[in-house]
Amino acid sequence: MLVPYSWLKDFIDIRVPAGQVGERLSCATIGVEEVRCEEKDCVLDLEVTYNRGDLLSIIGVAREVAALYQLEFRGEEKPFDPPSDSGRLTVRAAQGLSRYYTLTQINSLRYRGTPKEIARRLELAGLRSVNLFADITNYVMIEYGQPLHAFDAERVRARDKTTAVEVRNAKEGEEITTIDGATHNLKTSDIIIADRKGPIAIAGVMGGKETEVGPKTKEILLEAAVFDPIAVRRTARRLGLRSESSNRFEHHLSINNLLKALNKAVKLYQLYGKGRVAAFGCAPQEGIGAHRPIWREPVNLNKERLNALLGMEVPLPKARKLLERLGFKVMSADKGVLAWPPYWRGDIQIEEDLVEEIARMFGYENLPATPLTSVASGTPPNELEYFRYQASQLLAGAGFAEIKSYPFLSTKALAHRGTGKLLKVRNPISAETEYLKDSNILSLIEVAGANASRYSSGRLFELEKIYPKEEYLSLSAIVWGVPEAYRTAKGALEETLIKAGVDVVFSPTKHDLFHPGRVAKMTTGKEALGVIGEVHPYINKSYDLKNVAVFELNFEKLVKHAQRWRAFTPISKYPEAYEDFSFYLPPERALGTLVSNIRRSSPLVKEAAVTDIFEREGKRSVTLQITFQSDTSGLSSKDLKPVREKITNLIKGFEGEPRA
Amino acid sequence: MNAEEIKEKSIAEISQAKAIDDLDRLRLKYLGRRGLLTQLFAEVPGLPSIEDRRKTGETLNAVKDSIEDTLGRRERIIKQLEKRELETAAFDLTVPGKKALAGTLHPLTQLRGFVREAFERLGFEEAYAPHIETDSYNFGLLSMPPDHPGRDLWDTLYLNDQTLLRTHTSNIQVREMEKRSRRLIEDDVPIKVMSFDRCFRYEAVDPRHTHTFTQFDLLYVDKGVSMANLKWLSNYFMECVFGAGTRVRFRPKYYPFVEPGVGVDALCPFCKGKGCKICGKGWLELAGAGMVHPTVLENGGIDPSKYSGLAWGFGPDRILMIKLGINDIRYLYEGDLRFLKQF
Repeated sequence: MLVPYSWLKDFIDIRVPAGQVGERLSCATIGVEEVRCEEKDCVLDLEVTYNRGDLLSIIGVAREVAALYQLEFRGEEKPFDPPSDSGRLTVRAAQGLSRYYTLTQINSLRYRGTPKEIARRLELAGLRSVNLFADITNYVMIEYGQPLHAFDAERVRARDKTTAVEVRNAKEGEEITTIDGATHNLKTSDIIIADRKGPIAIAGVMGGKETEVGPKTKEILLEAAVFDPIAVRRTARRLGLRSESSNRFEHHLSINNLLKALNKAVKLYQLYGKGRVAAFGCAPQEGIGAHRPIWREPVNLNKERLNALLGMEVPLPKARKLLERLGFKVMSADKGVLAWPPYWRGDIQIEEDLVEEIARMFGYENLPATPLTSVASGTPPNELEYFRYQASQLLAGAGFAEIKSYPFLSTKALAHRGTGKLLKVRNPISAETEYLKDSNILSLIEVAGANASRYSSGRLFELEKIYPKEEYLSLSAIVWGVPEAYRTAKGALEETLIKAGVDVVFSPTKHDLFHPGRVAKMTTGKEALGVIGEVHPYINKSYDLKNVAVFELNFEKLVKHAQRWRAFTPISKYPEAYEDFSFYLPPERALGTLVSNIRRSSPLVKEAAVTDIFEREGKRSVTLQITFQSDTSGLSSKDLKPVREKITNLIKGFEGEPRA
Repeated sequence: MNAEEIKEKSIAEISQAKAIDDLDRLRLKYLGRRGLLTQLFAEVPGLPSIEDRRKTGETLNAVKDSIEDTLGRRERIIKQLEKRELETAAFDLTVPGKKALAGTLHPLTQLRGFVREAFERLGFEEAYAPHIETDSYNFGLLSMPPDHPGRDLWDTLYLNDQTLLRTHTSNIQVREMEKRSRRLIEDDVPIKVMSFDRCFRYEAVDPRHTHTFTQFDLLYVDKGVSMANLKWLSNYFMECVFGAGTRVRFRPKYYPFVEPGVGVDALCPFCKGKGCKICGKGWLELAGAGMVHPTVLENGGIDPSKYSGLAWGFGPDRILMIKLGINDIRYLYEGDLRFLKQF
């Protein structure tokens, strides 16, 4: 809401600089985006939120400033009362669409240009001056917060002999061209004003082109209404036509204010347009005295509740004064006060609302800071967070940089994967945010690809939610640009698994994103945990990557199986003996299985570690270092002989061919 | 060799010695258990006369002393030489170290650890709520029924009418109250939970905005929770992040699920409130908070006439950007190693 500072002075005698008022408002009332000052005037840009719809008007802001600075608010117009000689218009409003609808016919208008001051103020308030008859409606809307609309009366065809217009939902197939020149196909949920021929305005949103007022207009039908906020909101949103007007209808408009605004508008049409009120009509028709309470439903304020919620003592008389300054009617009540919000404060409905009014007027700077004294809930340490921290630290220590990637799959990623089974956003921002990822693999590849021109090799990991049917935390990592990418990724993965105390079996599987023969699934017990493998050469190529390996696992499942504490294995006091076994092993034979078989072959085998693997002339050469140790005695060459033979046989069983 | 010859020869050899090891060897050669001089000592008891024994003994002892002396002197000289050699050997101390294999934790992870620790000290524990959330937990139960204009504060990505990508971590609120209200009511265990996690909004990506962002939220429900507690919490956190003595102020702010609602500003730590490029006018708008709306408490199964609660939250992306001087939010989410390797 743009508030020209000089306009406020129509209602209050404020002498402090506009900047100071802006500061005060932002500390006690509402956000102030900025205070812009030009030669003659300043404009305060208020960030009006839904609760303070009353501040979408000059008088609302003036009232608030008056309360903050304890100034006199000079008051606005009296409520409109149609002159006794005016005729009667009948208007109809369908149930639930408008709380109050008025139409005032003003005749014998003579056009002139909009007075300079009105045009200037409108411009400062962010509106363009169009023509006098339209400008008056906008001027009064800014001043009172009550949107008005003027129809050219000679172009409105009365519905029948008695009824001028009607507020109703649109019918299927109806359309309207609005004053901006656009034509809209209306839906039955839209709220419109209609004459005999059909829609003449989208209620509360925008008027129709056909009945638009202009310099040639002689008679107008001036509409002032309180439409159903939800109906206006829905219609405006659906048509993408949210405006100054529709925005105000979404708030708590009051009939009281409507009548004052109407009076002001009529006066301006009389003053500048020389018009004369010819007829008036309203719906419901009980007359304008009804439905316009000055006070809203009273709200009880308990003194103890006030002090407890604030955490400080505000003397009741003080609280009472502060409310009165804001226009509340306050009376003593049991254990506190009863406060009637003024009609313009539709946001005040519960005790807590009053507490806020008192607190902000009393000044938040006076609020003490009281430490939290309550006990903690005493739940045990958080296992998920522990393992999360541990895995992240471990991977970072192993050279992986942690990334945070977007939850969506890019169109490029989708080209590799397709969109099958993915969760879809109904209103994506662009094609890049339409599908939620069900795996982090392509995101890692994409981020690696983006880095590849500067980093020919690298390692990344991420620990973040992914969104297959049931979302879960995924731990994923990528290694690129190193000769043994698979082993590098697997080494980091194995260390992570060891630290989590989870035993995992790797077995061949199929996965579209991976090299067809180089992808394994991980399982622990019977549960599938994830995949690891070399990325498919086609995908590598499209991201300019070489030698890429990726793993991804369900971190929540991992944590379910993880063990924070691992039992100690006694360390033998007898010396270890080391022995290397070098042999050729065909690539199709599983070295991992061989190693674990060797580990299990004898209690004397403490460790079997791969110390070297290389390939030459199509042959895979492997060196295993075996650590022998007994828990009960020293080891002689004789003791080792049977174990050694067993290992040699195991190697032969895997078609291993001893190397000289 | 007689004693005199031993003396001469040993002294000559010792004076030639280049290293401590040589001295040890020479000491052994002459004075060791089977050393040349020791052998002469061994012959002494076999000498015929007392006088011979005494004279020879004296002579040998004199030779021994003189060898020891020479060894000692030579040792000092050698050490001196070695020291000088160590001192003068060229060695470039500024040679860059060998690159250790070290990755990094994302700055958001680092901040998460910091914030979690800060609030764990106050007894808050992590709560988890889904990213793909129902309209109810994200809006409806937070006092924003469908068509409530308050929803305009959030531009939302929907999967369908009832399902959306959560717009804030405040979706923990009613979920956690539902889980914990019984212990609160029956065992007087306060609800103290927090969440540091990601959220989403309908927003085009530019240097200041992303559709994916991070939020921190905490919820505290107990008897007698007050706005003064909220003030203390705000002071505590801002001091944690920006240092002791950081000033904090409240301003009225509207969130549909709290009442009263406040915006929490910290006095800019860079210009101390004078106004600068980072803060604009001296205060940084950093957090939002308020007293849990009674309707929300009721929705969580808690009687607002007996209990009160506070909700407090901030945007970690923004705090990180301010604290670390990051000028483009996209760095946090696009995985550029030139960015990540700095942390």
